[in-house]
Amino acid sequence: MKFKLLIFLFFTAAPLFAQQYTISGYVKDESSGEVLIGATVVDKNDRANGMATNIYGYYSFELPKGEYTLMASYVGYATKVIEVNLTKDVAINFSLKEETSSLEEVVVSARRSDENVSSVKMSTEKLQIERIKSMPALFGEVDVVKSLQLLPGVSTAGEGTSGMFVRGGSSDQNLILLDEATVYNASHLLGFFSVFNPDAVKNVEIYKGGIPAKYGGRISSILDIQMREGNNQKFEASGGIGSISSRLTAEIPIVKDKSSLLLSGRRTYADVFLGFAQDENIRNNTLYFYDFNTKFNYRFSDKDKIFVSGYFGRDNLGFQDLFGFDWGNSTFATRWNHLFNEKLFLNTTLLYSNFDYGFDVNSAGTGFNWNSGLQEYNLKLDFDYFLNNNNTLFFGANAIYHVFAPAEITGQDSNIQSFELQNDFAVETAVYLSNQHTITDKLSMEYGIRYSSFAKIGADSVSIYAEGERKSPENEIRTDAYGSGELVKHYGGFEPRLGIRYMVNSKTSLKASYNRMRQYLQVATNATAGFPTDRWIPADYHIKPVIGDQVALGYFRNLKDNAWEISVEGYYKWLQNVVDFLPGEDVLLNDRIETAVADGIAWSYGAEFMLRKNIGKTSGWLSYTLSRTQRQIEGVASGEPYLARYDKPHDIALVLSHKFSERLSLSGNWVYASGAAVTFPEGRYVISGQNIPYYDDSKRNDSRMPDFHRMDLGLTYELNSRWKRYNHEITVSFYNVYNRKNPFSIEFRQVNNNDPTFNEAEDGPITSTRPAAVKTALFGIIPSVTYNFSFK
Amino acid sequence: MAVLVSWGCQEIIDIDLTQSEKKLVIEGRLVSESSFQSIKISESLNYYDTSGLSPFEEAEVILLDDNSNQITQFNYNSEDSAYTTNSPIALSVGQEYTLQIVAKGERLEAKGTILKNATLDSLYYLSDKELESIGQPSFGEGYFLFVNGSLNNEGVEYFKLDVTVNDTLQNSRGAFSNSVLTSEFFGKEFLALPVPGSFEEEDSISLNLYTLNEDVYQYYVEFINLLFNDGGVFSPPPVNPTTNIKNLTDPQNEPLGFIQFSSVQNKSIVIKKRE
Repeated sequence: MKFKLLIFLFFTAAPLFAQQYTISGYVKDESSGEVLIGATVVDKNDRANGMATNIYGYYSFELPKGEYTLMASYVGYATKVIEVNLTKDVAINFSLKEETSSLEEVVVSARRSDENVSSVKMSTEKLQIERIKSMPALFGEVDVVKSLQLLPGVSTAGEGTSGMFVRGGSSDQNLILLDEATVYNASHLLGFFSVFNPDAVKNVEIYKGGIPAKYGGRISSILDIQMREGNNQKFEASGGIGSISSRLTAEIPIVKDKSSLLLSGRRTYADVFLGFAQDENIRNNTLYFYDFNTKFNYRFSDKDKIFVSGYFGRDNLGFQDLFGFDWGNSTFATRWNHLFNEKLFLNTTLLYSNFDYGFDVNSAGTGFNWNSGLQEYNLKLDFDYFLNNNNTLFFGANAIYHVFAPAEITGQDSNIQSFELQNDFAVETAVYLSNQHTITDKLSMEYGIRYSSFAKIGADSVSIYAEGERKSPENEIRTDAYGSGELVKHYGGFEPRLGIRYMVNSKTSLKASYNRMRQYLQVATNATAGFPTDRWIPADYHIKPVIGDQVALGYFRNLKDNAWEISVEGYYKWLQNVVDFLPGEDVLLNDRIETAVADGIAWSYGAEFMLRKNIGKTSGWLSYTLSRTQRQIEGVASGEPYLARYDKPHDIALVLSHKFSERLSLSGNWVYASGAAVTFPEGRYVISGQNIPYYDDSKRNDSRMPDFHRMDLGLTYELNSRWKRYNHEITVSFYNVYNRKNPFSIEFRQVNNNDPTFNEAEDGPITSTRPAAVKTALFGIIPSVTYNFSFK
Repeated sequence: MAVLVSWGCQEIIDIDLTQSEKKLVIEGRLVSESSFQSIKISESLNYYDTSGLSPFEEAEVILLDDNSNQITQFNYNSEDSAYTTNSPIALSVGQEYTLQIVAKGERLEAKGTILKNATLDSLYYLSDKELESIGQPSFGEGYFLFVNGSLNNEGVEYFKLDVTVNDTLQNSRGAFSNSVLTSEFFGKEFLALPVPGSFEEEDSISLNLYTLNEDVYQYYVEFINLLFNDGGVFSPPPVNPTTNIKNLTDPQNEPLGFIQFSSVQNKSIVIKKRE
């Protein structure tokens, strides 16, 4: 039966027409030469004949012999029309000019105007970087990840933090790609800012479900971020001076129309102000981050193009000369686009990702250095085969070599003995094939299969425990040693993917999707938000990979010539082999990590409602997510189901911007979410003179923090400029306009003199002590000013 | 995190809490030093209850050797609100002991071994200026204590170091968390090992170093984790520390607290101004 279905699918893939000719090429921005992702090229008289460009701006489709009017369009750009007499295969490149729209025509979506309805994709969001930049932000720092948190199905761990929780998945279940290279820790300053400099970003797309077969490795989402290429027509510079950081970007044409270089950097300067402090203890502290993006591209011909890009970022914290802590990511991507012919496109990618951190403790008698890191070496081959107008095949393969160096401690002339945890090595491979298939005018599908494989390899030593006993040192019966490169454990399996779209009419569609994902790496932590010190652990002899399945159904409707979008999506996701780390177990310096782990299952379900307005003086969206996320793990909460901390039944986001004039615009966000699910004490007791809360260990996360809500506003005014090529603007933003004291944490502890901030040395004698619940709110109203400029 | 929290705004809020049944709370430190050994037994309180813990006075407490022979009985002493031995006794190094408690109709038991203590050869102090002169940093001003010595058991050893200054036990939350030690990353000999805290001239400082069995060390680690758990996103879900006291009658109903079996060693010093 399956074979017959396959025959049917590929039968319809066969050309049904007589002689067909291929039209192919690139669509670019006329002024910068940057390729446009998702631009459409269609036959003006029959718009069903056409294709959207891939992430390299390439398109290809077929038409029979004849005369055609081809139309290339992209939101925010003037449509270009070309007459073609088609008698052979032709390559046509389009250069589109950015439109200076009237206020009524302001477009804020990065998608084709009806893509919401017409695309097979669902559970996917693209955000235009200009929209992200227009949103008011904490300290004026525009943040890609925090902007995504305003989308339905994407939530945050806590106020200000940049971790993402997508449809009930934990933050390590998101694959974050920057120019296809994995970013393992996407946070600066303990998660309060993300590592993506908005000036260097071109395209942001997040897949929450219906994930295409080309992606794998994480259960919950794929965040695919592409860096800009840089202007290959003329030199451009842009930047900004903000309240806590400044940015500068240069775009340098190396060879006009062929090659360009992008350089972009930013740095915070809190440490500069610390230097002015009168207190020496503060003056000598260090606190800053920086990041630097670069991208070079060279077009040898329309058939061959290379891109080399890199990201290098680092955070530094220091306490005088006693303690230093630094961490950072670096990624390096080399890509080669090759067109074998007008129908077969290949992208070959060589990637390197690194994340590392280090402590430096300079204490008499106990000084030491602590270094930890992980690396990924990744080779990918991604083919796009434009078989015919009804079928585009995507197939490819990738192989990743993982190296994990969890900890190396070196005593510095002290009593601390040097110590190194065993490094871990693994090879992760995958092959995939999928077809984007237009079956009828109304019915389209994208179906595919991915096979992923994970081999944990030596050198390694594996503890074997007594059968049926808890994995603990006392139950170890032997240790098996594996030599370098020797297979320790292999996991693998198929990951089917399916997406279906049925057009009810030209404005309405119904969609469904299913995907299975396998995740072979996890972060070993029980905290909700991540620290840079969090340890990534691979699947191994004892720890199985997480397997996640998700089904989603959606209703999509556009109104008023695609100016308004309405969508409703429902999803159900279930996960196997989810792990939790046992309380009190050391996961950072544990060579037998399996002794600290308990595994189980998790599931989440929900409905996401979205109303969006893309065009006009006033634009934005209103989203509401109703959801539930639960886990069930042996040994936690008596083995009964419990809520994930980030379970938020109600989550509302209102994102609006209004353009008063060509120069003045106002933007605002309002968010509301149910309080996080937490565990509160049920009593207290005293041990060794310390008051300590008592918890019912048969319950977890059965209470709630107070609800969260906040409004932010930002006003941008474009200033007069004496020079034609120099533009500048000033943005004044207010985070938490009505100064809501949202709880970041609620701590149960003893309070002296009814004052949670009481300090005996400064505030006098203690007159009373009592147990209390102390709420900490991190951010009140925070105004900020940012000056942005560009030289074009 | 401490920087963030200190920067944020804190206030006391009212939260209705579920009140669970009272739990037995047991705390004992049985040592190799000849003394009236003592065990405290009480019951947990409602969280907001401002009264002190009420002692549980109706328990039977006995100490057994490793052949299950009773060594001594503990009797309730209302003056100390604790169960104490009738006369001073010293537990023997290298010996395993069992403490049995019968309370609320349930039989509770904790086992432990008195481990050989570390050798503390010398205790000395340096001022911040002296440290600076030899190129070592210091945490603030004052005098800093250092100890030389050696470890005497195979494998990783665990300790609790109580520091008493001018007859006051240093027992703030920070001092308590610094008092629990492991030799995991140490060699057998230690030189210039810093004692937590800074001190002033004329301070009379007494150190009591207790050996710990691994289960009690683990209890302390989990206890300190809970002590510093602020309920925020960077903290794990709070859970009670794992006790080393088993409930033989109802294994699911373990009491709160622990019984520590330790050898102990004392060292004292008075800080004098150096010319």
